[in-house]
Amino acid sequence: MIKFTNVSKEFVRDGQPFLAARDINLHIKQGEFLTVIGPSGCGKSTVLNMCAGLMKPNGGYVEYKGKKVKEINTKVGYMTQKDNLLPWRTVQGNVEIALEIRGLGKEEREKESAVYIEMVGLKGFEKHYPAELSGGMRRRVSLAKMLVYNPETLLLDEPFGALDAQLRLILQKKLLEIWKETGKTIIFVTHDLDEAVALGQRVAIFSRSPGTIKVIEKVNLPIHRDVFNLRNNEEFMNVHARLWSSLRDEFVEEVGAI
Amino acid sequence: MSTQSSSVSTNNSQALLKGEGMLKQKQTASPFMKNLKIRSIRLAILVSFIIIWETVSGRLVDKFWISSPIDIVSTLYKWATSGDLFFHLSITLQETFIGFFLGAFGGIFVGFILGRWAFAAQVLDPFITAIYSLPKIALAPLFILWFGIGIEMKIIFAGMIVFFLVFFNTYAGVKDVDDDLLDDIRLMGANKRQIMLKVILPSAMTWVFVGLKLSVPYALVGAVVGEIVASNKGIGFLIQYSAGNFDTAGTFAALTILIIVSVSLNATLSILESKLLRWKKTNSV
Ligand SMILES: Nc1ncnc2c1ncn2[C@@H]1O[C@H](COP(=O)(O)OP(=O)(O)OP(=O)(O)O)[C@@H](O)[C@H]1O
Ligand SMILES: [Mg+2]
Repeated sequence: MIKFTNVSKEFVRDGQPFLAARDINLHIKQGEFLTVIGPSGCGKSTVLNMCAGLMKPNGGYVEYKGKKVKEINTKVGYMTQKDNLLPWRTVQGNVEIALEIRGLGKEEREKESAVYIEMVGLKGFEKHYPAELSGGMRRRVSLAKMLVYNPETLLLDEPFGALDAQLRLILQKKLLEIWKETGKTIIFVTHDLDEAVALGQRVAIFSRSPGTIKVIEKVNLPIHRDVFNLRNNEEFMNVHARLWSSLRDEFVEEVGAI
Repeated sequence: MSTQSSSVSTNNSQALLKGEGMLKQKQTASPFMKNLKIRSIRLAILVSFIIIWETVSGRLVDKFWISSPIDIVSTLYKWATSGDLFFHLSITLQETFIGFFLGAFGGIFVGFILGRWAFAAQVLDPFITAIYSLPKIALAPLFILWFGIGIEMKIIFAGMIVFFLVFFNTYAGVKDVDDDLLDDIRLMGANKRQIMLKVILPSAMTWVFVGLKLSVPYALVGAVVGEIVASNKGIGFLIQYSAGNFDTAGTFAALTILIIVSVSLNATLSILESKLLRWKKTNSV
């Protein structure tokens, strides 16, 4: 479904070439839920950008459903690390934008957006402007805005980073439910190892910059997992421990000691 | 566009926006009483100014130089009853508004095109900068030569001044559109027209509005300067004609009309702006 072959990406910084990602080989199957974790600046967002066709790799290629990604990939929904809300539109207006583009009528748009605004817990805030919301609320609007138009693949870049622990669990559960119901393919970037193991069928660990995939670990938890009670699950603890030791090495080399 | 010229206009407009924001915040700090206090002080200053003026004139300073408030009001009354006021005012307003709309329309249109068409903007840059840096008033004699001394000349003159202000702000606004927002809507499958209507246009709107707001008083300046230079009607003509006949009261009366007109124009624009750009509001009380 999504295939990275020897992908590398270089930026120019202060006139010098700078390698942000290298030798990425990754195959994500249709309907798979992959979580990605790695040190800050290792190239996770860059990988998602290439998958969405917003950036071109300097070496290798990215394929989506057997076709090389050469331009913007409208098959994927992308919730970027930064909120791309339109400041002059209300919460509802932002959530409805993709539906407007598809030419849905007003009533239908309202019905659909209401479902997702309620899902992310923002009922009652429909008429607020982004400037009037907290950082976590804006993240949730971004999530609703992406889910509402039902793209077949979801790229999520730290979607729950700004949320408190309770809300985060609730939204993790919702996301898993949506994934089970719709069979979407999901690539989910996070900084939180608990979250990576709780959600992913596989977890990819990136090495520090220039990032490449260091380990991919399968998580043998049932698809119908209960995110609220995973912390004492034996498989969860085993996978978590294995991943932590290899993730820790990256940080030790990066900042010295833990 | 040379980075210098566009960044200059950018800074101006941003400073304007920020300045307004600060004013608003200060006013909301302690709302009603403070407003009342400020207003009463303003009124007191105005009233004492008029009283001092009236007392001084004819006693300490010859009326020939400064006229007097009572004389000015009686001149205004005379003009109002004879129909002169309405006639000249309507001429000036016509020139201002037609000039404003033509210039604004042209400025927005060209600003959008050059904002989206980087190559053309680069090619035309030195020419635009050259014309922009020319003091427009210096063109008035040439405009008389080309368009005569009728109302058309003032309309075109005001329109040209407005055109450049609106053009530069629109251009800056279109360039200022956040690329991430464009990527985001493209990923959702938007076509060119939808990108224009749903992202670029509304995003540039703030800037366009700054340009429009700036240029309304300039449209008035254009019209009045045109009238002063060559005309037989309009408020500018009234100023010129009264001064030419050593009629100080008439000159001040015409200036008073001008002040009232420009203050009301600005107030209307402020109200319009706060309605149109509601999403920018900050509700800190
Ligand atoms: N447009 C760009 N121009 C130049 N350098 C860039 C650009 N985008 C990213 N980089 C660099 O590439 C590297 C990887 O960036 P990326 O955003 O992919 O990291 P990340 O893994 O998502 O980090 P984080 O977890 O902090 O979000 C960083 O060193 C960054 O400075
Ligand atoms: Mg990132």
